[in-house]
Parts: sequence; C-alpha cells; structure tokens
Amino acid sequence: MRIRCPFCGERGLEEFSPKGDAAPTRPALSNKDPEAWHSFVHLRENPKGQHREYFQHSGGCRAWLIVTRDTRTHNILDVTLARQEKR
Amino acid sequence: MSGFRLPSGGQIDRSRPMRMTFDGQEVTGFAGDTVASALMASGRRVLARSFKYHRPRGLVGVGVDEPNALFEVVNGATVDPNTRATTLELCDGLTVRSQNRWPSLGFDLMSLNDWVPGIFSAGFYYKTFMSLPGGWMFYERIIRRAAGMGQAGRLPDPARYDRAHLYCDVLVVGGGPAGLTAALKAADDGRDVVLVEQDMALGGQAQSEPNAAPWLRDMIARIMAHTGITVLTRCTAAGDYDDRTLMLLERLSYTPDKGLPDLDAPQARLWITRADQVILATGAMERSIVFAGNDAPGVMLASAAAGYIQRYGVAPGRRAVLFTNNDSAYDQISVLQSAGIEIAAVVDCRPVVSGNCAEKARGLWLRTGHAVTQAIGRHALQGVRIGRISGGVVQGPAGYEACDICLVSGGWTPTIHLSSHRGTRPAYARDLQAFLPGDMDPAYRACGAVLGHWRRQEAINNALEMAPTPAQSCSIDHMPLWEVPAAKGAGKAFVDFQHDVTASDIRLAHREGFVSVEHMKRYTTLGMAGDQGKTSNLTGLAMMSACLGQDLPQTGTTTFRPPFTPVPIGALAGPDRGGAHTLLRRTPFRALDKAAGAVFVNLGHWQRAWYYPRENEDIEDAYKREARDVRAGVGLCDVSTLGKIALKGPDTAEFLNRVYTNGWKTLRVGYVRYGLMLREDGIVMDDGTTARLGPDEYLMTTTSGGAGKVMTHLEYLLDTQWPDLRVHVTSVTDQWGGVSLAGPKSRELLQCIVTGSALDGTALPHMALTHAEIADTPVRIYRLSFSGELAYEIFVPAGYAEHVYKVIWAAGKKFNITRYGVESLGTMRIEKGHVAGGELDGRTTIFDLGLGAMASSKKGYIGSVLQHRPGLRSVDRPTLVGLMPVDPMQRLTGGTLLYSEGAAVLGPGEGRVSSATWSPALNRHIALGLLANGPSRYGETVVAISAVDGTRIDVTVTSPHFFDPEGERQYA
Amino acid sequence: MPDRQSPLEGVLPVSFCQGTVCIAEATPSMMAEAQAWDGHQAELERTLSHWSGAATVSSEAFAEKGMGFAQIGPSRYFLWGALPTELDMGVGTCVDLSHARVVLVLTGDHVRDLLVRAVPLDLRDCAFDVGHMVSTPLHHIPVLLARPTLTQWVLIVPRSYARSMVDHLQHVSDVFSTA
Repeated sequence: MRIRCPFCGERGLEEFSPKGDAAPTRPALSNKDPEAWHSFVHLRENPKGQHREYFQHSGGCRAWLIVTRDTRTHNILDVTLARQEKR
Repeated sequence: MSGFRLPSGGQIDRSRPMRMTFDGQEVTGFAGDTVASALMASGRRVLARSFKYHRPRGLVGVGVDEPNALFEVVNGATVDPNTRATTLELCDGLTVRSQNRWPSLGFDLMSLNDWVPGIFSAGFYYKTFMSLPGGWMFYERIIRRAAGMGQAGRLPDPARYDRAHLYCDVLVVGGGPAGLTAALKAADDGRDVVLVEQDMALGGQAQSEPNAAPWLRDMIARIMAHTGITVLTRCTAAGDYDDRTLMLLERLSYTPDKGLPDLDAPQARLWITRADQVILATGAMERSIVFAGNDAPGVMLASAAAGYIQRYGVAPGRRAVLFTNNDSAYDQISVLQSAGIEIAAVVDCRPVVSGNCAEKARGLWLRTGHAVTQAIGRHALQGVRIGRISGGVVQGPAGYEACDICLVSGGWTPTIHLSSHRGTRPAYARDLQAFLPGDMDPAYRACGAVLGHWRRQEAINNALEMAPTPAQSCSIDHMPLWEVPAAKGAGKAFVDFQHDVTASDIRLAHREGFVSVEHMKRYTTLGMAGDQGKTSNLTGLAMMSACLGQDLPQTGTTTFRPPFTPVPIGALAGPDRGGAHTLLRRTPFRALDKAAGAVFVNLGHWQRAWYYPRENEDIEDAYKREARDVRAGVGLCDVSTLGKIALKGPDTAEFLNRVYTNGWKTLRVGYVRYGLMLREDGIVMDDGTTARLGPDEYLMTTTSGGAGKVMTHLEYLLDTQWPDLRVHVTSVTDQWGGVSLAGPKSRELLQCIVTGSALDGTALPHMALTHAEIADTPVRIYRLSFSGELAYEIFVPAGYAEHVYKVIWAAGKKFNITRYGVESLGTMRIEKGHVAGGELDGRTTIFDLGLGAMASSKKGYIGSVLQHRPGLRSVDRPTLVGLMPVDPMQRLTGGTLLYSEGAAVLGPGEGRVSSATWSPALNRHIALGLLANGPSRYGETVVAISAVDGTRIDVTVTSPHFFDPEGERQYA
Repeated sequence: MPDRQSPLEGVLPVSFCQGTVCIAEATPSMMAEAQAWDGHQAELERTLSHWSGAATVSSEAFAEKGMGFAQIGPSRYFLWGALPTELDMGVGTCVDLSHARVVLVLTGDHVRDLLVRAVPLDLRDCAFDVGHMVSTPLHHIPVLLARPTLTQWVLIVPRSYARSMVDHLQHVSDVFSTA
C-alpha cells in the first residue's frame, strides 16, 4: 500500500504507523464521566467502506495524518495533515 | 524410441559443451540447454515418479508449466528440491537427482501404490486411515514419510540474496511479441520502461516459430539498444500487490556463463518494484486433453515439442501422433517434419477442419471426428488408440497406432494470474473458452495472447492499440474437448499430473458434494502443487461443470495468489539475516565498557552493559560485588539508553500536566521531578524524570524501552488532540551521553573534578540540577537516585562523553570506584522498592504500585478518569509488596504465583512475584511482588508456587522498601 | 573544550564495491532542528534564510565550514553550520542536535545502486532533484537523505546508529558487488 504524505509525497506503507479511527472526539480533560471516556477510548464503529483514520509518518517526517481509506479495497481516497483539520 | 539431438538448429551454442550428472550418470549438452532439453537429447524418457502413485513420468512442457520433471539440485551439502528441469539451465558440473522414488527411478517400490485399487483417491486420508486399527496417529507417520516430493534440506540456506527497490514509469510483464511491442512503444513515447521476462531469453512463443525469427531478432536488437528500456530476463514477476507494487524475482545463478553458484555472490535478486503503469503481456499456456494413460512418458504438449526443436535443437521422438481440438497444432507440423519426425496421424476431434489446416496436413493421415482414447505404455509410450468421437462420446471400437510421442493441443489458457492477485475476479469469454483478466485498475492494462489474441500478428497489433481490448472472437478455430471418456479398464486418466489427480477424482468429488471450485480444489488437491495447476485448473473446472451440467463461470472462477512460481524465503529476507536483521544501537560509552570487560544484554536495539565480571566471576558473583561496592563507596553506570525528549514552548508545563499524573506547574527552573504517565485506559504506561532547564524548556526522560512509545504518544497528542498548545518535542536521546554516579563517596568524587558549580547538599539538594564543567566540558548534573544511594546523573554531549568518563574514572580510583551494570542496578532498586519493568507490565495502575499519592485529584490528565473504574480500584487487586522467603537462602523467580497458605492451588492465585534478586545489603533473597490486599498483609506468610517446575516457597509479606526506607542515604 | 569525538573514528573514510562507492564523514560543527508555531512558518524561513545567507542543499553547504538549512517536515527544519540557534520564542523553537547526528557523504559511480538497496525511495533523476533533502527510513530507522549535486549524496544519521548503518551499507554492497 502506498500513502501520499502531504509533505513527503507517496511512500510505502512500511513508513507509516497506524493508530486507528480518527472520528472519536476526546472529552475535555475536566470531564469526569467514565462513560464518556470509555466511549472515546474503547468504542469504535467498524464501517464497510470509507474510514478516516490516523497514521503517523514515523519513518519520514513524523507528521500525523488523517487517511481516508476504503476498508473493502484498501484504496486511499484522501490524506491530510491532522494538524490542519478543522475542529 | 526416445528423444535425440538434431544435427543443427536451436538457440544452443554447440561450441560450448556442458556436462551434468543425473542420478550419478553423466549427461552432456550445450550452453543454452536446459536440464530438460539435455536429458531429452540423451534419450531418457522416464525422469520422475509421480506424487501418489509413483508412476513413471516424462516431460510434458518446455517451460514454467512443466508438472512432472522435478529434481533435486545438489550443490555441495545443500540440496534444492522440486526444481523444474525445464527452467533449470544447464551449466558445467551441475548435479541433479530425481526424487520421490526408492530405490531408483527405474525401479520404484512405491509404485505398488498404483496397483491398489481406489485406496488413494481424493480424500483418502479421511476415509481410509481414520477407522483402521491403530488409528490415524499410527498411519500418519508412515504416510508422512512417503508423502511429498523432494526432501527439504536440513541446513540453513547458505545462499546470499540481493534485494533492491526499483521504480519505473511502465512495467511490461512478458517478453513475447505483445510485450516487446508494448515496451518499445512506451519507450518511444518517452516513458521509462522496465521489461521483465521469466525465461532466459526474450521472445516467448515466437521463439518456437521458424517464421518469427527475423522479426524477433530485429525487435530484440532495437530493445537492447534503447536507453529507455531496462531488460530483466530470468526475472519472474511473482506477485502483484496494492498500489502498483510488484515483486520481481531475478535468478542470478545456474546460468551457462556463471556456472555453479559461487556462494559469495547472490543467487537471486528481489526487486521491490513500483510502477506508474503495468502492462501484462503474459501470454497463454497450452493445455492438454484428458484421456486414459495420458501420463505415459512421451505424451506431451504440441507447442512444447516445437519448442524443444526450435529452441534447443532436440527432437522428443521419432514417430508422432498429433491430437488436437484446434487449429494451432497444425502450425507445429512443419517444425516436426523439419526435425525428421514422422507424423503417423493427425487426430482432430472436430468433424471438419479448414482448408488451411488441411493444407498444412497434406500428405499426412488426417483423421477428423476422431480422438485419442488411450495411450499405451508405462515406462515409454508405445502407441495410442484412436477412435471416432461425436458429441463428446466415443463411438465404436478404437484402432491402434504405434508412436513414441503423442503431441496434444487442447487449446490455450491465458496466463492471467497476476491480474487476479489482488482479488480481481477473471472474466469468462465464452467464445474463447477462456478466462481473461477481469476489471483491473486503470493503471493496469493487458495485451496479446493473455487477452485471447493468439496469433503473433494479432498480439502485436493489440499491443499497439491505445487501450488494448480482448479478442472478440476466437481467431483459432476450436471445439471444446476437455476429456475423452475412458473405456472401462482403460486405466487412470490424469488431470493434475503433479498431484496425481485423476478424472475419476473429480467425479468422486462431485458425487460427494464438493462441487464448488474451491471445494473441489481442496478435496482433490487439484491445482495445489508447486505448479499451481498451470496446465490443469481450467480442465478440472470444465470437468466439474460437465458433472453439474452447467457453464464454467457458473461453477466458479479460479483466482490466484502470489507467488506465480516458487520464491525462496531467503530472497524475501534479502540481506537482513542473522546479525544483519536489526541495527545495533550503541551508547557513547560502548567502547570503554567493552574494554572494561562488560557483558552486554540486548534491550530493543540497544546493548546495555549487564555486568562487569572480574577474573573467575560469573554473573552472580559480579552483580553482588558491584552492588556491595556501590553502596560502600562509589559506582559508575552508563544510563545513556534512557529516552530523552526536549520539550520547548510556553505551554509545556500545561502539556506535562495533561500527560503526567502529578502536577508540573510548580516545578522551578533548575529542578527535576519524577513523573508517571498513564495509558488512555488508566494503566501505567511509563515513568521517568523531567527537568525544567529554563522558563519554557524542559527535558523529559523515559525508560529505555518506552522511549519510542512515549515520543509517539506526545507527538500524537500535540498534532491531533491539542494542536493549539505551543509545545515542540524533539528526541535528544543521542545528543547526550549519561552516567549515574552513585554511592556515599559520589559527592566527594565529583567535588574533585567539577568546576563552575557547588555540589554540597544546600547548593544541590535532592532532585535539583546544575550546569557545570568537568575538564573543560559543559555537563549537566542532576542529583537523583534510582539505587537509593547518594547519587548523581551526569549528562554530557555525546561527542565529549568518553573524555568526561575517563576523567571521572581517573578521579574515582582513590575512592575505589567500580563500574556497575543493569543487573546490579536492578538489585539495588529492588532493595529500595522502586518499581520498574517487572511492575510496569501493562496490567498495573498507579494505585496497585502504591503510588496513589502521585495521582492528582486537582486536574484531569490522560487516564485520570478510567483509572478509577471499579475493577481497577477493587481492594482485591494485586498491589505492591515486598516478599522475603522464610528460608533466606531460597531463591524466588519473577512470574511465580502467590497463594494463601492452605489455599487450593487453582487459577491465577492472589498475586505474583514481579522482580527478584539476592540482596547483598540484607544478605538474603528478596523480591517485589503484587498481592491482593497487599499492604494490609505485612507479616503474613504466603506461598510462591511455580507451575513450571512445581517448586513451593514460603514467603513473608513485607514492605517493599527493604533497605534504608527513610532514604537517609540518598538525602545525605 | 575537547574535540568532539566521532562514532566513526577509524571507520571512515571507506570505499565499497571495488572502489565505486566512497563514504566519508562530513559532520558539521553545529546541527539543530527548528520548528515553527502554527502561522509562523514564513517567519521562521525568513530567519533561517537570513542566518544562512539562504544557503541550502549544495556541495558548498556540506563542505568544511559550510552551512545551510532544509525543510524536513510540515513545519520542521534541519539546520547546520555556524548558524545562530537562538530563535525568538514567538516564532518557534530550536533544539541543538550537534552531537546527535553524523553526516555521511557518498560519492562514486555506484552510489545509487547502493542506495536503492538501503532506502525505499525513487532515486531516479526525474524523482529526486539536485538540491533536495528528504526523510526516509534506512533499515527502518528514519534518516535524512540529500542530493547536493548529481553525483554527491548525503546521509544524515543518528549518532547511536551511525556505525551500524555504515556496517549495513557495507553488508548490502558486499552482496551486490559480487553479482
């Protein structure tokens, strides 16, 4: 698999480390509700189709990326710098 | 009769004779021969014994599709089994052996298998040997010894393998007419082209066609001269992977020029290839027709016979019967005749053939509407029976025709394998009776015979098209005939030669319900041998379809997985073998430690000094002495492997507050604090010390093993979760060498050599740091202790590390300074009850470790909420204790489980021993452990039980702080 | 101040592949990494250009007493040579790595043949221009690879791995140089 790092260009999968679903939103650190944290840390959707997920370009520029990947075909539809994602 | 060398012709170099040994006998050939062509020229017919039935077998094909002729190649002590004779080039001194026969090829006792009726049919393991007396476990041993083909070698593969990355604009797979045309066209368009061909020479099928020779010569010359084309022959495109990444395996040894392998040189090269565009010009392979006795040596593919004649100047026999269902076989007639082969008959199952074919068969006995119904001959073909056939049914009795070769053409099967490696299902083209590449990614394109353009000119024209399309209709007239039904008692008819799968096996699978193509394959093992069913998959599928009375695609589609042909595992490893598998990471003090006799231990990529044995010391003696000497005087330990992360920015203190459990906003410049980091789920992740070097500048240390994980964690949080925090992190592990100087004399020693800073207890209290100099070198000195002694950590820029170390060592002589390694460091921290790897094992919480006071309740931090989940706060959880064996001389082992006295030894017990050591300070064995309700059980006796060796040791539960619990020594 | 010791003392310079690849050390006196805050990247670049005289990846930059800088990440820069490193905290941060890296210069006819066995990059002229620096893994460890000229390549490697990486390059070239 090849991933196009927005800074480094297209590189092989072996240069990247996956972290998982980019969709869950972190509760505020002041949030003391265990259910909110349990949901954020443990619960995930498992879509058949497009999935937005975190990868780090650990073998290259070490930027964190959001990769939109089709879980059926491994086709990568989009790669953006996580830092630039609107919150 | 048998094969013989023609007086002239072939692409061999008759001026370079080569000698090989086959089963101990010398066989001669020429440069350019394969082992197959040389053996054929020597007149040998039986080259192998089949898998199950040990039937005598000869050559069927001329290339990579050959199912029978598999040999062991012997090179000194190494043996490469299952090597295809048709693709093994002859070189001088080559030694090969036939396999799967005992005692010899000519007389194989195992052929008794052939005479036992029905017992070895499909699924025989399950049916026969399960219920016999003794059961499967008895017969399995016998069957295992008899099973398989070649013997796997017992020695490590001594060969070296090269591996490189290759990038190109266009990768053309296949060097036949279509591939050559496509490569030249792309290169003329200015693209950077790699042309890969598995054979030793370019040309594909064109090499077997006499009329093609001038065209082929010209094409090859143009391609070799073109600077835009890299040609890789002897190179197989073995697999196609995501995003136009392909595995190419280039064979480098066993060529007539290179000769037998020189084991210093690489035997093969793996090219990890990325192409912008891939053109599959992989051609097609001829298939046979199934009939009784069709595995007799002498029955072979028609195009293969032409190949042996044209490419190698060898005739397979003297008197041939040609059996076909299509026009292409007629093209071989002139080639056969030019070799002086008498064609006894041309047997064509079609009732009518074209005038063109009739013309090519002029003067020969052309029997249309007929089929070969049986081959006669066991060690060599004697003749065939030929009968009338209509509607796939044999009509009436068959006549006999003597011959020593029967050349069969059942049609052509496009070599579509690469197109389906990533799951694209092939598409069935009814008119062509063939599966073609399915809907591929636009970056992939196929052309030529693989799309059903069988004839050379069609293939060339197709390759020139902008977007090559499959053949709409079959340009070679043919009539489907997969099998000639065998008369009763006519003997076995084989579909998959390499796995000895017969026509009746397929019908048996159908009767027993294994009717989908995946089930048929696995039940009969058709297509599962080393040749992966190259000549048999489609036939098997067609025969099952006939059983089911349905169309081929309705029955299923064969898909393929890499590799196309076998790949040595060593080639995948490339140079990364043995010590070269991982890079060694060296600390700045390694050379000095080595010179001091350190024994090293692996820790990830690092090697750490483990202990420094003096004369006649083993590890036990060494670590005990080192710990004693440190606590008595002063010791020096390399701590450079600790992860070091520079954190800079105005929001650093806030960031530290969010990742550590304790508070950081009150840490002043010039001070160090111990910190614990939790995982998101509340389990302890790592610990370390973080120093404040400036208003917005901090330096974090982590455990040696946790450095990478922590760095990634911090980068993740800053890039994705809190991008608004102004903090930058940089790994500086390599920037600084670090030593720990520990022991009651450590301060005195430092005061001898340190300038620029006072070191007394007031100027440098515990957990403070200072910038100073040692011998003209800037250093940073922290006062902190892991061993529990008065201790300092000294960080020096790595390039000055050895210099400073030598100065410390020289000054330490008068204090009897000793070097100590991680073993004794571990001993001392256990004596103090400091947690480390054994306790931070991914199961423990901050409360389990007795460090709950560090869990701030005034702020949220990573893991702060989930660590309070009821299951993680339960009072029964194993929590940190000290353990002292009742008999002080009894040694405890980490991982041993703890049970209450008198309790049943069931399940996981109430806890475990986590870190054990002999304590020189207390003169007894001790350990740290985790015990349910631990802190309330001091004084109780529990039992440590090993499930591994059954030992039971009574231990007293104590405080984990065995030695100097008030910390008087480190606060001195 | 003592002399800075190299982990490759006595090892470099060295030549492989029957002399067709030469590796020498060219570690500059100062090396650092600078990172800009969001929105301040242009400012950081201006500062670095000003310090280095806009020197970048060239053979002068890697010669003795050379200097330069190159962008190696979305807002991260590698700088080397006799440059100031005190960065305005309002623009970004700078961390000294003078002892954490070693610079290797590779020259010779077969350098690219060696490099395609060490890093997974497209090194064709059309893909890797003169004057570029990229980050890439060498045997799974991130390094920087630069091409100051058509025939000169530079590897910037972590100090603790420097010796192993040179050994690895030797090992890899051993295999293919006998082919």
